Amino acid sequence: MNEQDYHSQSEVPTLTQPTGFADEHQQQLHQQLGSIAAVEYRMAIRSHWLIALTLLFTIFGALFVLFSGARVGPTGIERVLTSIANLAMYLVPIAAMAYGFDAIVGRDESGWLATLLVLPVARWRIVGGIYLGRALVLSIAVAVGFLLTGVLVHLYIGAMVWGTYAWFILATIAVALAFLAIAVAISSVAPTKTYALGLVLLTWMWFILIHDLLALGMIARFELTDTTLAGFVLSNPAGTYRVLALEQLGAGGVGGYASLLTDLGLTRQVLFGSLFGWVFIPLGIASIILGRRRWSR
Amino acid sequence: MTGVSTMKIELTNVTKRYGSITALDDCTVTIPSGSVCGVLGTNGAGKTTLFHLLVGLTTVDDGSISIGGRQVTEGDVSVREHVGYLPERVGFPAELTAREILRTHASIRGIRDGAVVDQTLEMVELDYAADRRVRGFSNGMQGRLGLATAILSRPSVLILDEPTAGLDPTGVRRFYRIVERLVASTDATVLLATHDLANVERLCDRAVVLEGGQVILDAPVEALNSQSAPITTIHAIQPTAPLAAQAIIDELPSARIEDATEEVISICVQTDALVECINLIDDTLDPERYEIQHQDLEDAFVNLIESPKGEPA
Repeated sequence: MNEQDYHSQSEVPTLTQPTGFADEHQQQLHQQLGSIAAVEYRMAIRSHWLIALTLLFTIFGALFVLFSGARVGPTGIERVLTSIANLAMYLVPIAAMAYGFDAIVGRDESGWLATLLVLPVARWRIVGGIYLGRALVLSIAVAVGFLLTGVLVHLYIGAMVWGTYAWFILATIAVALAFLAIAVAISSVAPTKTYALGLVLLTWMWFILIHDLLALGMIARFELTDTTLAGFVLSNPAGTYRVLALEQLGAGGVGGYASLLTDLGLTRQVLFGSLFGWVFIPLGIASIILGRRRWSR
Repeated sequence: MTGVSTMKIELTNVTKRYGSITALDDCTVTIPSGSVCGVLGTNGAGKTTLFHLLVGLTTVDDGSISIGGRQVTEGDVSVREHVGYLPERVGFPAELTAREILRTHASIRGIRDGAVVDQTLEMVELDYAADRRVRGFSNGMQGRLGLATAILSRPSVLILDEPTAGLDPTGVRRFYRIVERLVASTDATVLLATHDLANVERLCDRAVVLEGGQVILDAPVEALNSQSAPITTIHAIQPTAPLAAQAIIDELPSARIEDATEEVISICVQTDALVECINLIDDTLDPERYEIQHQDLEDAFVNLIESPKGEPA
C-alpha cells in the first residue's frame, strides 16, 4: 500500500462541494434507504426469518382449512374465510412484532447501529431503511403464506372468490406492516432486547385482547355516537383490520363489535388510510426517539 | 495531496452534561490539521463523549466545535462526509460478508467507484476474507473491518476510539502496523484514543489528556514526555553510599534521592542535569556499575493524572 492507495478514490466530497440538487438528493435518498433495507432483507433471508414466517402463516392457515370441519358443517366459503381472517388478526400482529422488536435495540446491542449512525445519513433514513427491509420480508411471507392457504381453500372447499381474497391478503399485509412499525417504535425506546420483547407482548395484549373488551364494554354501557365508535375502531390497527377484512370477505354480520360498525362511514379508503397512519406515526416517533437515544458506545 | 483536504479541529469552551454528570467541562482544544493526536485519559474521562460531539451524535450544552472551520451541530450529517469514525465497540451483521458490509457503507456514502471497496479491504489486510461471513471473524478481523469502514471514504478526519480494546497482542500489533501505514500515507487529521501509550508515542505527534471531563494537557507528545525525568540508579559497593548520595544532592539541588540503602542509591534527576550528575557519581562513588532508566510516556501520563490539576510531577 502506498500514498496513492489512500487517495485513489476520486469522489471524496469536500466541504465546498455544492449539494442539494433535487434529483441528486432524491437519488441519495433512494440509495441510502435501499442500502440499509437491503442489509435487513439479506439478513432475514440468510437467518431464515423469511422461510420461518412464511411457514408459520401457511401451516396455521392450512390447519384452519383442513381441521375446521368446514367441509362437513353447514357453512360456506364465507365462514371459512372469516375464520382465516380471525386467525390472521391474532397471528399476524404477534408475528410482525416478534420479527420487529429487535429492529433498533438489537442493532444497537450488536454494534451495527453505531457504525450506521456515524455515516452521513439522517436518522429517519436509518429507521426507514431498517423498516423497509423488514417490511418487504414480512409482506412476502404474508402474501405467500395466505396465498397457499387460499389455494388449500380452493382445493378443499371450492368456490374461492380470488378477487375478494386478494383484497383480504392486501389488508393482512397492511396490518402486518402497521404492527411491524409499532414494534420498531418500541424497539427504539427499549434499552435492551429483553425489555423490548416484554413491551411488544404487552402491546399485543392491549390491541388484540384488552382494547376490544374495553370497546365492547363501552358500547354496552354508554350511548356512543358514530364518531366515537369509528374512533374506537381506528384507534386499534387490529380492530381496523378486522372491519376491513370482514368487509372484504362480505362477512360483516360476524366478528364482535365489527358488526355494529357497518354504517359508520368507514370506507375501504378510510380503513386502509388508518392502517397507513399506523405505519407512519410509529416510524416518525421511532425516528425522533432514535435522535434522542443516548448511545452506550 | 489529492482528494483529501486537511482539517483543523477546534473545541471552544465545550461543556457536555448527561443529567447531573458533567462529561466534558469547559474544554478548549485545538488540533492542527494533519496532526496525529493521541487522546488520553482514564476510563470515563470524556474521550468518547468528545468523539460523539465531533461527529454530531450529540450536541454541546455550552461552547462550540468546528471541523475545517465549519460548526458541528447535532443532526447535521454533512460533517460526517469528511469524518471517518471507528467506535469503541463495532459490530456487523453476522450473516453478511466483509465485502457486502463495505459496499453498503460505500453506497450510503455515495461512493460509486467499486474498486474502492477492494482497495480498502487490501489496506486493512482483509482481502483474503472479503467474501467470508463476519460470523466467523475474530475480534482482530472485526476491528480491521471497522477500520475499513472508517477509512472507506478517505476522510479528512479519522477518529479511532480505543480500536484495539479486547485484541490479543498479535492483533494489537497488526492493527497498529496498518494504522502506521495509513498515517504515513495521508495528511488526514487523526485522533486516536487508546490506553496503549507506547503506540501513542510511536504514532502521534500530539496529545490531549482528559481527566474528569477537563483537558489537562493539549500539547505535542514531546511536551508530555518532557515532564518526565530520567532516573539514574546507582549500584555502589561502598557502605557509605547514602552519605555519598547526600553529597551529590548538595552539589546538584535539582536532583532528589528516590531510594538509598547501603549498597544501592537511586537518584532522580532532570534530563539537562543528567551528565553533570553522572560525573558527580563517578567522582564521589566510583560505583561498580550504574543504570540509567528513562521514565516512559506511561509514567509521565500517570504522573500527570495523579498530580493535582494535572500539574507536572
